[in-house]
Amino acid sequence: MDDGGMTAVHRRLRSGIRQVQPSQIPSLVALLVSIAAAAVGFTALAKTIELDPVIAAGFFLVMGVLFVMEEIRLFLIDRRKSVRLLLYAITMLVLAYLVTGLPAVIDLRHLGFTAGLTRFIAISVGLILFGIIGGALAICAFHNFRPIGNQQGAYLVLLFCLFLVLYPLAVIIGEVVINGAPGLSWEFMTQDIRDLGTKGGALSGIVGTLLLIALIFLIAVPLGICAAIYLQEYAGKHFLTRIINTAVTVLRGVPSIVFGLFAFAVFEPIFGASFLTGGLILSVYALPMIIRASVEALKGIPDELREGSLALGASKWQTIRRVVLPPSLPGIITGVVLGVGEAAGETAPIMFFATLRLSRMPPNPLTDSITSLQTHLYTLFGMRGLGGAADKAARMQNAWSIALVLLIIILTMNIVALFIREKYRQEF
Amino acid sequence: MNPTLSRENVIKYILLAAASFSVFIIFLIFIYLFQKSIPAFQELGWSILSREYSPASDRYGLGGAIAGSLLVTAGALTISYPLGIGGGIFLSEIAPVWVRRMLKPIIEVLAGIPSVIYGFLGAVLLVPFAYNAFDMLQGQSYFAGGIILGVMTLPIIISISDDSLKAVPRDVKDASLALGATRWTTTKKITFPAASSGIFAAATLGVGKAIGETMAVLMIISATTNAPMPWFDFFQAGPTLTALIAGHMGESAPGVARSALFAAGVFLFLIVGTLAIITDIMQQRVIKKFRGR
Repeated sequence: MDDGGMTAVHRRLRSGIRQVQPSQIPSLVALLVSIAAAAVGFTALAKTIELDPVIAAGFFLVMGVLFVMEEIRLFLIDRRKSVRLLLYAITMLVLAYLVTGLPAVIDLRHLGFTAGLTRFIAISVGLILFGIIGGALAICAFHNFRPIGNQQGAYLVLLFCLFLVLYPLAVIIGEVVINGAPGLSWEFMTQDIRDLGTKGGALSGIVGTLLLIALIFLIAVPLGICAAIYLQEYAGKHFLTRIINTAVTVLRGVPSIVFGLFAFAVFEPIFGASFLTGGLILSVYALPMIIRASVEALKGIPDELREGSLALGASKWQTIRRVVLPPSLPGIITGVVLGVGEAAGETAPIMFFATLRLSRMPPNPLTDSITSLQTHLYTLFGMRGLGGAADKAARMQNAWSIALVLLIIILTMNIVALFIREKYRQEF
Repeated sequence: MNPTLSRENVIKYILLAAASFSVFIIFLIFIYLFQKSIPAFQELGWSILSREYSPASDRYGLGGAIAGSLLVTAGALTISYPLGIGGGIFLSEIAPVWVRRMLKPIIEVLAGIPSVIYGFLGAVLLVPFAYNAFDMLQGQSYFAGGIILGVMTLPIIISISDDSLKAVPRDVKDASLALGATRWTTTKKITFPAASSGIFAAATLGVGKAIGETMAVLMIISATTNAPMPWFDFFQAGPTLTALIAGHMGESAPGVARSALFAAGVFLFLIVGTLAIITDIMQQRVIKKFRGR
C-alpha cells in the first residue's frame, strides 16, 4: 500500500489519456468542467467575491448537458443505464434554472434563526459541493462504472478533504506572518508596552512567556518524569495504580479554564498574582501530559531488556538508569516538550490574575506579578474599540506582531520536539 | 547496611514522593472543584439547569450555557469530523510516502498553535465574514465559534484517524487485495471497519477539546450575553460553559454566584472526564486488537 498510490494514479491517468476513446471525451470534459466549477466557487468563497448567478448557471448547465451526453453514450454503446448519472444530470439542469432566480438573501427567520442565507454563500458552496461530486461521478463514468472508477472518484473526494484540512491551517499561519511581520522591529522586541497598547513593544510579554516556560520545565518536568518512572517501573499492577492512571487520563482532558478556577481560588490567595502562581498552575496543567507521554515511552521498552539486566546482577535502579531510560529518552523528551509547549501557550489558567507589564526588569519570579504574550494579546484584543482610528490601527498592528512572536516560540518548541522524535526513534 | 541497597531505597522513595505529590495535586483539584460547587447545587437545586444566568438579578441557571457548549461542539464536529477522517484516509492509505512524511509532522506541529491565536484570528477575520455571508444581527455567534473550533480540532482528528488506520496490520489488507478487491474497496470494507474504534476515539477527543476550549470561544462569542431564543439559533451569540466561567469569574461575588461557576466547572469536568475515559478505552482496544496482547 505504501508504494505511492498517487504515482500509480498519475501513471494510469497518463496512459489513460493516450487511450481515450472518442466516446469518452464528454466524461473527460465533464471532469474538467466540474473541477473548474469547484475551483471557481472556492476562489470566490476565499476572496469574498460575489459570483454572478449566470456564471454558476452556466457551469451547472454545461455539467448537466455533458452528463446527459454521457448517459446517452453509455446506453448506445454499452447498452447500460446509470440511474446515478441520470439523476445527477437532471439535478444539474434544475439547479441551473433555479440559480438564476435566486434572491439576494434567502431568509431563515421564519425557522427561528436570526440570519439568512446570502446568494454569495449559496452559490459558492453549491459550486464547490456539486463540482466535487460531479467530478467524482465523471471519473466513474469515464471508467464505465468499473470498480477502478469508483476508486479514483473516491480519491478525488478524499484529496479535496485533505485540501480543506490544510487550507485553513495555512491561512492561519499565513495571516499571522503577513500581518505580524511588518511590526517586528528592534523597538518592538526591546521596549515595553505603553499607552494602552498603541505604542511600545512586547518585551514584558516575551520575557514573561519565556520565564513561564522555564518555570514549567523546572517544576513539572522532574515531577512528571519521576512520577512516570515510579508508576511504570515500581508500582505493581494493582487497584491503586489503575485509579491513578484513570485520574491522569481524566485530568489530561480537563479544560484549561478549570485550572484557571483552581488557580484563582487556591494558589492566588497563597502566592499572590506572581509568576510562581502561573508557573505552578501551568505545571499542574502540563503534568498529566508529561506523565502520560513518559509512561508510554517507558512502556515501549520490552521486558526482556529489563530481565536481562537484572539477571546480570544489576539492581533495579541501575537497570532503569542504564538500560530502560537511555532508549526511552527521545520519546520522553518529545512528550515533555510538547506538553510544556501546550501549557506555555495556554491563556485561560492565568488570565484571571495576569497584568500587562512587568514591574521591573529582570523580574523576580517569586513576587512579581505575572504577564505573558498570550494574556497581552487577549488584553489588546479586549481594548480594540478604544481610541481613534490611528490608535486602533497601531494597537492592531501590535496585536498581530505579538501573535507572531507567540506562534514562533510555541511552534519552535513543537518542531524541536518532533525533530527529536524523528531523529532518534527506536523501535523494539 | 549494604550501601547500594540503601541508595536503591532512597531513590525509590524519592520517585514515590514525586508520584504521590503529582497524584495528590490531581485529587486536590477534583475534590476542591466538587466541594466548592456544593453550595450552588444545594441552594439552587434543579433551577441550576434553567436557562438564564444573570448575577444582577440573582439567577444562576447554567442550562443556556450547557446548550451553548453542545451547540458549538456539534458545529465544530460537523466540520472537522468528515474532513479530518477523509484527510486521514488520504494520508494513510493513498498518499505517497514522501507526502505523508512531510504532512504528518506539519499537522502535528499545527496542533500546538495556542488557542488565543485561533480566537484572535477568528474574531478579526471570520466574524466579519460570517456577518456579511449570513446576513446576521452581529457576526459574533455560535456559528463563527463552531467554525473556528472545527478548524482547531482538525489536526487532532486527522492525526488520530491516520494513526488508527496505519495500525491495521498489512496482511489483513494484502489478503483483501489478493482476492481481487481494489484498494478503495479494501479501505472501505476492511481497513476502515478495522480502525473504527480508533476513529471513534478521534471523535471523542475532538469533542473533549471543542467543549473545553475557552479563549477562542470567549473572543469570538461574547461571553456575557444571555442564551438565545430559541436555543438552537446558532446565528446568535450566547454563553458556553467555558466562556461563562471566564467571563464572570473576575467580578463574581463569593457565595452562590461563585459557587455556580464552580458548578459549571463540575459539569465541564463530568462531560470531558467521561469522554476521556471512553477515548482511553477505545485506544486501548485498538492496540489490543492488533498487537495480540
